[in-house]
Amino acid sequence: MIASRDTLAPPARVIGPLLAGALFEAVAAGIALLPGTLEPGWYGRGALLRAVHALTLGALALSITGAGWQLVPVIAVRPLSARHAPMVNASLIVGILALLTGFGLPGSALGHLGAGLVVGALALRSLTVLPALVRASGRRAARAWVLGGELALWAGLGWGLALWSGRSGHPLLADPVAGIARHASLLLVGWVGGWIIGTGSLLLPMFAVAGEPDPRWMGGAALCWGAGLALGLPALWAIGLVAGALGLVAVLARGARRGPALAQAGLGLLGVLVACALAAIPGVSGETALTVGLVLGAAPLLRGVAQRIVPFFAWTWAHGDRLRGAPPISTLTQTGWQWAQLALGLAGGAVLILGRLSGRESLARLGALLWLAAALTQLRILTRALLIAIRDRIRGQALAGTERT
Amino acid sequence: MSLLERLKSWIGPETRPQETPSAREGPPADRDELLDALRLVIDPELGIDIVSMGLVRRITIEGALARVEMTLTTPGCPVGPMLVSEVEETVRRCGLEPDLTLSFDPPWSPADISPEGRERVR
Repeated sequence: MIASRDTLAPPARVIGPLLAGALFEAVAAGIALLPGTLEPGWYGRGALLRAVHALTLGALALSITGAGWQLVPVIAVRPLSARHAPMVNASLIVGILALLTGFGLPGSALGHLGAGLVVGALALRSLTVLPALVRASGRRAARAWVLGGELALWAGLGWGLALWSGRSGHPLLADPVAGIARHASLLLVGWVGGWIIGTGSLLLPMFAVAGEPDPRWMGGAALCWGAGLALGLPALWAIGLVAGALGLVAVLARGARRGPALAQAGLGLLGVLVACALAAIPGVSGETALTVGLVLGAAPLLRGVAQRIVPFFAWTWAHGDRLRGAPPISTLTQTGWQWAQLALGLAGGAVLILGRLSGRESLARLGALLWLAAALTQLRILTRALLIAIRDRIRGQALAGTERT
Repeated sequence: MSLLERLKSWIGPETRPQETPSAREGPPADRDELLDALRLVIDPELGIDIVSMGLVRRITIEGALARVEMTLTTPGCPVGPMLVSEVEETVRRCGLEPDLTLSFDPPWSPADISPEGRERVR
């Protein structure tokens, strides 16, 4: 099977959600800056709820969706008919915006519309990718993580809808706090964790130029993780996720290639490890583990991956007609800015968490400010790569036009 | 300078060399010469040639026909069509007719990169 231009996902379907994800991360950081948002307390409050969902739904879910259009055919080793991708992407973006607005207005029509659009888009997405993954053979360990993640997505969304019903004045849960914990663990540990480890086991070896992780190790880790999620046993899923993340850290450590994007992905994996460890320590609040997992784990990891994927796709789009003499992909990236973005993200996340733990809101807001700077720098990095690709494509097409005349 | 002029100035002219290497004169290339020619086909992601990357699996020359079995890093590799087209062009420039097949069994892995290639990647 050859990947022809007809079967490949055009760049916009992949790059669009990744760019939108970077924007939503900036929104999350911006909301976190608002006075009162980062006061110690649970996530059920309006502004913090918006910030968390801007990061999780906005940044993480969109990044996974965008990257998935390209990665599912790779995992399944078969083409994917992605004709619904534009509708899924657009519905997700609009739905997330409406939902974020609706969080501050319980029972509002906008919130209901947002929830409906998000669930509908994710359903269409699942209906598109699941058949390809289920029918595939080979790459069992990677598929186990991703398929487990998809199951966790729907279980987590179910809890989410129950919580939403409660916020709209029709409570379905006797213990909403426990419901929040299930919703968060299924979506973050389950869906996001499954996709990160599953696709990472294919992507990171290629990016880092290293051998793939041991499939038996990754398969065993997937079993632990999946069983822990299904049975509601945090210690079990934590062991599985730690084992999976360690498998990927080992890949990065032995890779022939380095660089800021890979370093950021590696630090993100370490953040996931720390979050899992915190979740298993008695006396450490779930909030802390969740914050570390999000801000120092999943977010930097996906930022690092986006810094590899977006320039690559943009370059392919710009130079797809003629490989000979094309400038290297490195012309679309600037290492200095990538390192700066990594440092800001790390510092911002650490200071934010320190501030929340110590109950010092001013410190937490300083962390949010640094995090916002990191998110804006990420936007700059991705946008610049796209602009240069657009320029190169215009140059190439202008020359082709001259040759024809 | 108007906005449009600034934009045109930023876009600038195409800087890539436009001439393609001329076709080979004389008898068609043999296997080793074809392999050397394929070392000029560079994978844009890793920046090393496809032979060092281990993407060229087998070459068989039968008269004027060159059967090349190659692979890609993944079946969904976005630069796959570009590399395939570049390989076919290279074979033709060597005075041979290409018969290209793609195989993904076994799948390519970074372990297939030659030691020299790995040094260049660093």
